[in-house]
Amino acid sequence: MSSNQGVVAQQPYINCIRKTLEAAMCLVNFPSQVVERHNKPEVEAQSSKELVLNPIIIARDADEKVLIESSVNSIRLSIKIRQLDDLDRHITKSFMDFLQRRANHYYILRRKPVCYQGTQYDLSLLITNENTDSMLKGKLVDWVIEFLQDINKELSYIKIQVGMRARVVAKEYFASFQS
Amino acid sequence: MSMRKKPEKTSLCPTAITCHSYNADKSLVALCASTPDIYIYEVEGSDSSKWKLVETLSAHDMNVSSIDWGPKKNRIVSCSEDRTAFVWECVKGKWDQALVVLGPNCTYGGLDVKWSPNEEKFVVGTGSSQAHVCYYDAGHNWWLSKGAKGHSSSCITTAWMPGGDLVIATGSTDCRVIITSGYIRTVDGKCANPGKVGTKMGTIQLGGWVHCVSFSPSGDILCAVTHDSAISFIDTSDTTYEKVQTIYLKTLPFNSCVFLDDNTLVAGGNDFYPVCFKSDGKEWKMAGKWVEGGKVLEKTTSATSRAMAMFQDQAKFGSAQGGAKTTKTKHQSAIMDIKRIKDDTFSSSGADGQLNVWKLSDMQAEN
Repeated sequence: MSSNQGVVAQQPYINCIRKTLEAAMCLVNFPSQVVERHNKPEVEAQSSKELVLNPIIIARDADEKVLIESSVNSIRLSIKIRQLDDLDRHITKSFMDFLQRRANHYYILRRKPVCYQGTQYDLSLLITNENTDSMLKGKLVDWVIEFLQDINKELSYIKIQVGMRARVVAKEYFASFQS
Repeated sequence: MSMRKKPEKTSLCPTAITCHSYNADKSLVALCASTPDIYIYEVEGSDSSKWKLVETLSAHDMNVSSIDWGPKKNRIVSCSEDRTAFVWECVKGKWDQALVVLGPNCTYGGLDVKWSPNEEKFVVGTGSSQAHVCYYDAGHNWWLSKGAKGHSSSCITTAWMPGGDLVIATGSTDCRVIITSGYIRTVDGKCANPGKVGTKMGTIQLGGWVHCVSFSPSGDILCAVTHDSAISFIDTSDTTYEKVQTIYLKTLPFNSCVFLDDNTLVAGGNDFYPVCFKSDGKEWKMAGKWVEGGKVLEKTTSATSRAMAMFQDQAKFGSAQGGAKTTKTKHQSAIMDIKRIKDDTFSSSGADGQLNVWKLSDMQAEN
């Protein structure tokens, strides 16, 4: 998606995110203490200050970072992907919209990304204690890390494909002017 | 007739086990498993996935959050997110429940319940930040309660001080452990007491949400495990409760702890394995853990089934090595509850639906 000049290598960034996720995902069931008979993800409801932990931003650089907000029974992970030009932004937005529209199939995907302290993130995940109970926590962390590692590759692949298609279409179009 | 073999049950329960409790001779275990029902299994052998379900107790509307089986009077008390609690008694082979009136102050669901040492009373920690001490009212054949205030957030764990039925310790998401009186005149009669129920005897400020409190068998030490990956040992003989030894660990937080004897404690939590702490009389230190023991799933040996498994993994998980890996530890997910069986044996139940029995002799010692 971009040139690798002056960019921190990806592996320490990924390792840091993995360790933080493992620590943040220590979730327990917690029925709401402000609404009776309700059980809601506290990171979304933000009902009581003591139940929500301090948010952490892990940034590779200014354009690429991850926000992890944790609470007693849920965590929210938001990803900001590096997008350098208009085509990047368009492709990223389309791809994220595609995923978010099918959020119910992904169980942990949030339908709208989070905007925190002025930064609009591209994708958000909401993992609750119900998810960690029914799915293995180690596998969930593995899935998120794999997603982070592959997302840049996928988006740059799409960008190359767009370029290739544009070239083929232009070639065919101009060929019609040659007699 | 189906050609496919029914998948073998690998764990005791298909859903996460919140807590478990044994009867007096440890032949039956009651589970509270993220459902509105309580399940009683027969303990047979060391492999818990083979245990048989003998009884299902249904009365609650919403998930049961905690249960306790009193060994002396053979009664189970359960509390639930639906703000009710029941006391179950087995009469002529049939389990029947008695109502517990938690009162209008319990607005947000029961979170933890424990019988007192003589099993005439029990305490329920609730989301309304109170601990309700409940006692039997023979006149109406139900259980009444008196609330003990003190916390500013949900009271998630409770314990009775052994040696009497007068003192309770409660831990909460406000990061405090509060030691309160649980004395009720009508039940306990006239005796030396620390004040009526709710009289605060001490408050200990800790660094994170208190997941579990537990007294040693003599009542001298109170252990609290907190979310900042710390374990604190509070000396209760000093009534100012200032002598607190806190061990900060580099591992993930514990969810539960229990004393095996006055000098040995086991704790388990988000690292999926139990850890042992021992005291030499003056100081507590980590003594060992039970890390190994994870079952490696048998892989099929024929070439076609291996190839089929690889393609299935590719489709399901997006990568060829997909689902067959397991962790090194016996538990595949966080340990939620640890209970003592004997001086050298204890059991842990977890969010993966497993219940494992451990022996002190199998511990990998820490040097």
